[in-house]
Amino acid sequence: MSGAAGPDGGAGGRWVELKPAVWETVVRACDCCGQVVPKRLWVVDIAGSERRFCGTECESLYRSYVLPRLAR
Amino acid sequence: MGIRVGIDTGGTFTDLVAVDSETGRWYVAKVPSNPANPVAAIGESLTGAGFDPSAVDFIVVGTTIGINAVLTRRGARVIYVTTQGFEDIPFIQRINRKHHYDFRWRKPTPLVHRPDCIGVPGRLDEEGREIEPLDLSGLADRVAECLAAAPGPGSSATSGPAGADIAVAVCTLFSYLNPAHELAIRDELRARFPGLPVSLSHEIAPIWREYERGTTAQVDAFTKPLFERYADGVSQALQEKLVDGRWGLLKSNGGHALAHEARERPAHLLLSGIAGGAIGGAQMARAADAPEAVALDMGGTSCDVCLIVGGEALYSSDFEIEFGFPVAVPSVSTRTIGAGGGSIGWVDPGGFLQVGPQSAGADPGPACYGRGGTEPTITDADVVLGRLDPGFFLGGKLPLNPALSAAALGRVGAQLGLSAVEVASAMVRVTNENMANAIRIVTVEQGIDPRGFALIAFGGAGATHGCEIADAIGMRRVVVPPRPGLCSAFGALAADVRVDAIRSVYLTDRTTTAPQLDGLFGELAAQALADLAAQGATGSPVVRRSIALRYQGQNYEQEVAVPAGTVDDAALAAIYADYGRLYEEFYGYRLDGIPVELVRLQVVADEGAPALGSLPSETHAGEVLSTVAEAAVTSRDVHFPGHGFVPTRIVRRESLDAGTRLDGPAVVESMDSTVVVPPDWSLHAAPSGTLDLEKKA
Amino acid sequence: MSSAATPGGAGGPGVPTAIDPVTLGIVNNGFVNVCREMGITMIRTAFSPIFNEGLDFSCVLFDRHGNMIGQAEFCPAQIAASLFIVRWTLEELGIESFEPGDVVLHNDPYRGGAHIPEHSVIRPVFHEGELFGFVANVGHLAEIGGKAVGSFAADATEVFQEGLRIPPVKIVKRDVNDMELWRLIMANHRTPRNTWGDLNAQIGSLRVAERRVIEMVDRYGRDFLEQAANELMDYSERWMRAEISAIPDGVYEFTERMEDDGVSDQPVTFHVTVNVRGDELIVDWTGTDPQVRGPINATYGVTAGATYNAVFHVTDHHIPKNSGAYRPIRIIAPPGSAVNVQYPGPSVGGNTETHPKLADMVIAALAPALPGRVSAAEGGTCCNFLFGGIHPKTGEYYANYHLEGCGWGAKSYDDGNDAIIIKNGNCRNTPVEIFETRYPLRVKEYSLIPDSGGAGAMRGGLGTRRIMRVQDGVEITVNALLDRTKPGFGAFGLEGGGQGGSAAIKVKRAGDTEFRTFTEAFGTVSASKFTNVVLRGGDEVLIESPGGGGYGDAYARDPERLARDVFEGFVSAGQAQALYGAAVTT
Repeated sequence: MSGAAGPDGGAGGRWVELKPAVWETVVRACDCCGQVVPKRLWVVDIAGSERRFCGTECESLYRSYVLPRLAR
Repeated sequence: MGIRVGIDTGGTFTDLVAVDSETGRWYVAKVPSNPANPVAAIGESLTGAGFDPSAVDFIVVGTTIGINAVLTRRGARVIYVTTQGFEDIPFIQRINRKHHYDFRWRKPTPLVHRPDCIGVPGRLDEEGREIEPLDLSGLADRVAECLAAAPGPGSSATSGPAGADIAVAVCTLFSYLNPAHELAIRDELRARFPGLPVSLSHEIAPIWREYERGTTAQVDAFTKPLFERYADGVSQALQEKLVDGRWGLLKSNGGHALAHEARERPAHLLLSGIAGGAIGGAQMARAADAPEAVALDMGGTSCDVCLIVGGEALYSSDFEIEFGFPVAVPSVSTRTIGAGGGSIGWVDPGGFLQVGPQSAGADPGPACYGRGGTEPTITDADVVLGRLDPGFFLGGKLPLNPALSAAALGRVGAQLGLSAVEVASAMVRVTNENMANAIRIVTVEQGIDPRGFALIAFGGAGATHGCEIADAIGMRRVVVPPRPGLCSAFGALAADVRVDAIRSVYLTDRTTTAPQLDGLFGELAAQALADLAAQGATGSPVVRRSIALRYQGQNYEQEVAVPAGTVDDAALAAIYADYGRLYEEFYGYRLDGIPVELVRLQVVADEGAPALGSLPSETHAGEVLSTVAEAAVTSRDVHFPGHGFVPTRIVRRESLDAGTRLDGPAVVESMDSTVVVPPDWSLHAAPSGTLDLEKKA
Repeated sequence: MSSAATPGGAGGPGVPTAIDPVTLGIVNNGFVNVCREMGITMIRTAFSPIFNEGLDFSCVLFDRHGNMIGQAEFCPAQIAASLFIVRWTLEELGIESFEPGDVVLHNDPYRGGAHIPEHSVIRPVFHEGELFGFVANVGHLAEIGGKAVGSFAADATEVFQEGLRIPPVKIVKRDVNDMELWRLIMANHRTPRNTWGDLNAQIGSLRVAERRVIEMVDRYGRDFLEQAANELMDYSERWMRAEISAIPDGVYEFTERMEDDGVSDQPVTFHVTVNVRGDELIVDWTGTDPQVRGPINATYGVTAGATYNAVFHVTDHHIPKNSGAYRPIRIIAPPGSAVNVQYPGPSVGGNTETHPKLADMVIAALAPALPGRVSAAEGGTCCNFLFGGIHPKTGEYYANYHLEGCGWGAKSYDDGNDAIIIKNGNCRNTPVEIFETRYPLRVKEYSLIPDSGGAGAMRGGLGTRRIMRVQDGVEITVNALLDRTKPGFGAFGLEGGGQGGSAAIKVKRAGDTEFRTFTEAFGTVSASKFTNVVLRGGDEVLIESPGGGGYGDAYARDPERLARDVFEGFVSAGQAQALYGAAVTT
């Protein structure tokens, strides 16, 4: 998939618009909640690895809930 | 010919309307009902009406005893005989839920107990052919066992002088195509248990769907002993009042039948008490030259809405006692919602104002009755808004206390940050919207635009709210009949003898021939006319035929009228063409080329009695209605949305001469109703006695 | 501002609304009525029993930003799917790509759908040339191709075996059908005439709804209606937050198993953690098995739908169902697990078998927090039985989707209902007289199964038994997808209540003397999930649906309730003695 930075990327991450080729028939899922991300990914670097979310709310949920759970 | 009488025995009042066909004189009476002894009030109403009982020619009675028995599950113990393997159908039902997210809902309680459900070997196929012979060898023993056994825990079977009520309902698979097995079962039971009442499903509801047909047969058996006693009681009461005329019962289909015939199929009497309002509303619609109308009968706790098309109330066969408990007999098609003068206003957990379905009922009643009610009702709202005169409620017989209304409204207002008046206005709006939604369901959802229709507003509270309900749905005309509180009794009086004969078939346009259809209609019409005569029809009957069609695979049908005359090839082609046209009108597209199924034939036979005029507003009243106060024109402040309190003319209805025109805002008061004319409406007192209200351009 | 209302009750935060609450309530009824009318039109015009008797569809109204502002409740399975499908389709295609009279069709289970038979249609509503919002509905088409008739391939391992997959495409452009696309679809379904009728019913009902929305905009004005919609969503959100706040904070967990996935005979484990944090819920499905080869995987739409379904069951069911009601509920469904199947994994059974179990898990997890609001598990299988072939009377191909009701779970305050459709849908059964008229099978028995309700102070509801015989000279192909047939996999009880009775699907070949499992008779891997078994005249099929779980100690059952059970035959005298400790004389 190719992507391009969106205009309104926040400080901690950036929006990447999906432009799938015609043979790419599958949409991808959010790294936090598992929802479909139909058009724009919210890409954030967390602890050195790139995370792709459906939006900024999932980044917060990831930081406030998933990371502490993984740490347990 | 003498006096014809219509009587409506409701939960609160028993109403009587009568007309002397020779003199044209009208009589009315309103007496309190006695739920413990429903027959008693009939005698009292006859006394109250003030006519000579011996001049009575015919009486039609509408009653709620059938529906009340089923609602409270107080009726006969029913033994259910069905095809072996299907004894549990009354318990399994249709498996769907009433609400999606409600664990508290319980399935309808069947009218039968499981040990009283008897399976009989023997089977028909989907064309009515016998594929396994009927075996009656064990039936009598099983019935005898049931009769000998105790009724079971929690049973609430009624009893009469002859002991506990018990009756049999029979429903075998595919009996609507071939009744042979049900008839053989009946013959066996008659031979072995003389006097045991037997209800056969194919006679009561010859439709497919075994649960619906079986339940209807059970309702019939369940109420049969009650109706027998009721009919005997009424006959005796009439004799005591020296009335020797014939009498009949109003049926769910809005027609009446001689009592001795009607009691044989009591499932058809279930909506006897509601049908009068629909028939009365339709009669009023015709009298007011408003053949396309919606009848709105708004009382204290509930409101019945019925669609009138071409001057006739609409009919359906899908009435339900409660969710999932159908009674599949032809009935006037009414929608009942729990909203009336006694409905209570409250605030839901999300902070929205709601009205009903809880009602203050007659006891304690609205707060303003001063009988201990503390929650605000629609009646309280109408008092605080100046619409109801606290000194002239029921003609002044029940003084109302506005301070109690304001206090009750204020308590709800405190939760919403609204004043008592604001809450009152809001409650009225919410209720009117609920009514408008009920109208929307019977019109818009059936593909009918109600905006050109008239609203026939009656019942105790109908006239007070009629114009604003009409506004909420864009209707521009409201008709208030004379004596709006007596419209149901008037409907019983106006009813004809009527028979609805229905037959389920399973045919398609690929194989059906015109002679085949003509033969089926011929049989059905002959049966309908024979029933019509037996039920007391005189005169020359009017027969209407229709057929229900659908595209193969669909489950819902479109009714197409079948003109009189032989059904020949041309007539059959016209039926299919009409169907395609109606479908496209309704849904916006056609499905040409797909087979069409013919699923139901219907013949409606009506005795075609001469039409009754409209009940005049000035009638010869019995003692109950004789205390009407002096006519007067006064003024008081009445609240209207968007206007606030405005000085408003108050007029007594008796003082309105025919032809009088009056611009809103105005209030027209009479003993049994209050008509509110909002600022942008005008009123015309029609010569027929109705009040015609129109939205100003 | 005509008045400022402060919502009261249930401890909801007092936020004033700009539009008075009365008008808001009226507008809300209007939005719901648009959707109800859409649904009623569909009931009247659809061809498949799954639509017009089964009511397996949902109708929704969206604002122009993709927020759901109205919903008519016909099928709870779609409460999430309908929310996501429209929003994500608008995002993917771009709102600006919609022109008046367009209809977008799609059934992609990886784009919010619950399973592949469900087809969504979406139509924009323009008012005087300006976009106001969208009307949409989701419905189950009875036959969409794939390896098994009825498109319920219980042993599928890839989506391609489940039927024709359609990404969001415009099937109608400016009110003109794209016949090229229609022909492509028709060529891939077994009963294309029904597809034509059903999709036309779906699309036709959109037009009815569009007209009603335009009338509302005419009546209220665009700006006012948009403001009202926004306030309504806030209202639902406030109410839902108030309900959640009333649940004690904490972490609640539950684990449940399914007997197999149709491809292997190994059980599948599901796990949920419900985090109640103030006025928010985080429902985390981490810990569930990786996605399996067979079609009991749940799509994201199924898992989210089951979660919302459960939450709606334990909160006030009057909360208006718009986007606002969903906001306080966060769901985590790990991609690639059995609760969030990824391409090309199969999922057709996830909607009917997995959904009810997931919903019951969330409800049961909350039992310690909300003992008066929860229920033991219901039977939890649709008992999907599909068959088809050439009809001996018409010579045409037919397909039928048959299902059964099960026992409801018992609650602390009442027994479970007998024979009720599972909570992911609200289908009715098909009357025997209609069934035999349409299909070449004969029903020999349809009855309640005594003793199938889980024992308890409150008893689980009973399952049903049905026996069908293939008519002489007829050949049919059958597929089945059930669960809870193995011992130990019955509907769980709560607070010491017993498990509900098992499900069964068995066959008695013509000439045989007893019913055997399909594994015994035909060698299917799973006894409850299989495809393409051919039955002939005289063969009989037995389907038993499971009972519901019990609640509380059976020995503590009210003797009056037990006496009534024994009198009616819901509980045998033997079970009354063995499980309830009561010697009952009959």
